[in-house]
Amino acid sequence: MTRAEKLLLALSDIRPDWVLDAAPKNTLPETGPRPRRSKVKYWGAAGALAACLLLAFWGREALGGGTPPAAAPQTPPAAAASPAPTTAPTPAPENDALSNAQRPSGAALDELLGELGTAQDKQLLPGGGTAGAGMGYEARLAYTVDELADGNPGAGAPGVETLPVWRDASALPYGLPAVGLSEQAMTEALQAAAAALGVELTEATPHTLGETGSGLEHLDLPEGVGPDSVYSVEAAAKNGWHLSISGDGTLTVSFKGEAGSEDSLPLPEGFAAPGPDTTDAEGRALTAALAEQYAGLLGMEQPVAVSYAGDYDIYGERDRTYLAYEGSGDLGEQIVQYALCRTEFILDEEQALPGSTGGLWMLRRYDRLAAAELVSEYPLLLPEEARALLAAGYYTTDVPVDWPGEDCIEAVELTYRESGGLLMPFYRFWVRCDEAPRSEAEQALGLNTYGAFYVPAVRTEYWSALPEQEIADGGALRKGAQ
Amino acid sequence: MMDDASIVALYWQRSEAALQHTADKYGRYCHAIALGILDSQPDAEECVNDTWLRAWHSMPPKRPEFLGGFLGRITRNLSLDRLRRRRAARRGGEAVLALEELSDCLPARETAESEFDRRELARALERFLGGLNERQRRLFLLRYWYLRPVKEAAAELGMRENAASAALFRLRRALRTFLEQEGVAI
Repeated sequence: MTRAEKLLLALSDIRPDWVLDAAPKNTLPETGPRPRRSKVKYWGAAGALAACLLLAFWGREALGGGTPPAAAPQTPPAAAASPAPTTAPTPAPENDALSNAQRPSGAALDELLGELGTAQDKQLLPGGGTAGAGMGYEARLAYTVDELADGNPGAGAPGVETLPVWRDASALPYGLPAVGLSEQAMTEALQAAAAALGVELTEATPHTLGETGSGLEHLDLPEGVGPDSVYSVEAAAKNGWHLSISGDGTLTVSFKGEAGSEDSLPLPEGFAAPGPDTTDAEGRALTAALAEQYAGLLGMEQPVAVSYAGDYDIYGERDRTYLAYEGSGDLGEQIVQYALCRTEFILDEEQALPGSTGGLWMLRRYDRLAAAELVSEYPLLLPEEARALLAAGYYTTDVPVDWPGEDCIEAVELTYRESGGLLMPFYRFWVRCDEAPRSEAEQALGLNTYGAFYVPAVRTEYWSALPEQEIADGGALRKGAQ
Repeated sequence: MMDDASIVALYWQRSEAALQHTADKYGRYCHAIALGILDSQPDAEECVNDTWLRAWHSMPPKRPEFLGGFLGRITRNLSLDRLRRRRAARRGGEAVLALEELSDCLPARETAESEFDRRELARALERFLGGLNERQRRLFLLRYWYLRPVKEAAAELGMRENAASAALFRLRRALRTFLEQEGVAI
């Protein structure tokens, strides 16, 4: 028996009350249903991809068509000779609720719906998207919707008229890892990453779907995908680091201290280990320094540093995010880069655990376009048009509540979701869902639940079908009535 | 639904109704444990059935206070045992991933005097887990007791997957440090 097996077995003998307290939801009769949340996943080897483009946290007036939104562009400074990363300024959030003025209704809404599927110049697109991101439904916990701000470049910028759509067949059903890039392409990408980091790799090891042990012979998989399909390639570096790349182009680098005894790298000089009190500004400065330190790997011409605490978990704790995205190009290009090609730095934040060093533990570089093929650029609905469609019931959500009402719509943003093998822009509305199931802990904390409701962002003439509600019901999906 | 003490009493009375009440109350729980480890419905069902058999033969003399915990432990051990027998033939699945993650947590045995048996290791684990806050303890147990994928464990606690991965990394390293300080080695 290995040491790990002995440890795993010994865990069976710990206090049963702790074990029962940790039981997965809805497996024990006395615990009853607890809220299920899945964070918005910008990443992920399988399942729906949702990359967030913040639009209306700072431009809510645009939705109501009232006074022009305050100018709060998130574009970085004009390109200068120095490639030093810039930090995205934190715009002042609006305090008033989304305005209902000047929304299309009645005849205008009928006109939107009347145009459904009438376009003939481009491929029609699905009306819905894959629901949720794993277990449960998609929602966030926060005291106010402003706390959900995550530094998207599209904030307060209603002037985005078109966005591209890609075909990406790398995502697989049944929770299987993505299969897209070839083994050769992944191996070459690993070698390029190692060269950028200045490390030497040992032999690369491919991993196939057959190793996942998922009973593939019973699954309905796309043509050409089978047990021998390679979903990732990994290699150890001779200095103890570990690199891996997945079929959707996501590169992961795990660091270890030079001495080999520590499991994270020291932060750049002058930066202290982050903690619960780290501010957004401090986080951005650290991210900028890391982006500069790993510029060769990031490959960004004009990196923009972002850091935010974001939403809360059921214990009222927040986990800080540190990420960089390509800031060159126009606003639409920045939106795509933030959504699909960001790099995230994962730190060993001090949490009063023995051995914590507060260093850099891991780096994850996303590149969803590596395995994707451009379909076309599509014209977008105006945010107020999307809101009208939402209010009329033409949306997709997996939040298990009846429609809360228009006065519960608190924010909107442009995001990408996967639908029918396509990466498409959607408007995601954050709707306060007071009736969503909540644990006693959440109720005691007084946190609000903001559920995600989606409307396709492309104009209705390019919809092949109306969006359908997909509401999680005891873990299964059911089609809701519109 | 019948309370645990009443169900245990049925076992002591050798009433077969005990099995039906057990299945009604804890069937889903035990099946979830087995399925999470074995990733196979037929294997999970067999383990659950074996659990009921083991329970029937162990009560009496046992009279567990937490029947769910008692049954869950039986199911888990049966599932892990079955997984070990399968492991030579096929790798893959969350249990194998979890084993790889835990492989660095235990120091290698250096001296005969530092060897612990399973029960003492369990007590050491309890002392470690007792020093964690509730979120940390639940995350650790969801991953390494229930062998849930990191993504599911994160969703249970309302965490982002990356944050859960990072937290688990810190917990594993903290466990290693703790066991070294306690002089635990296998």
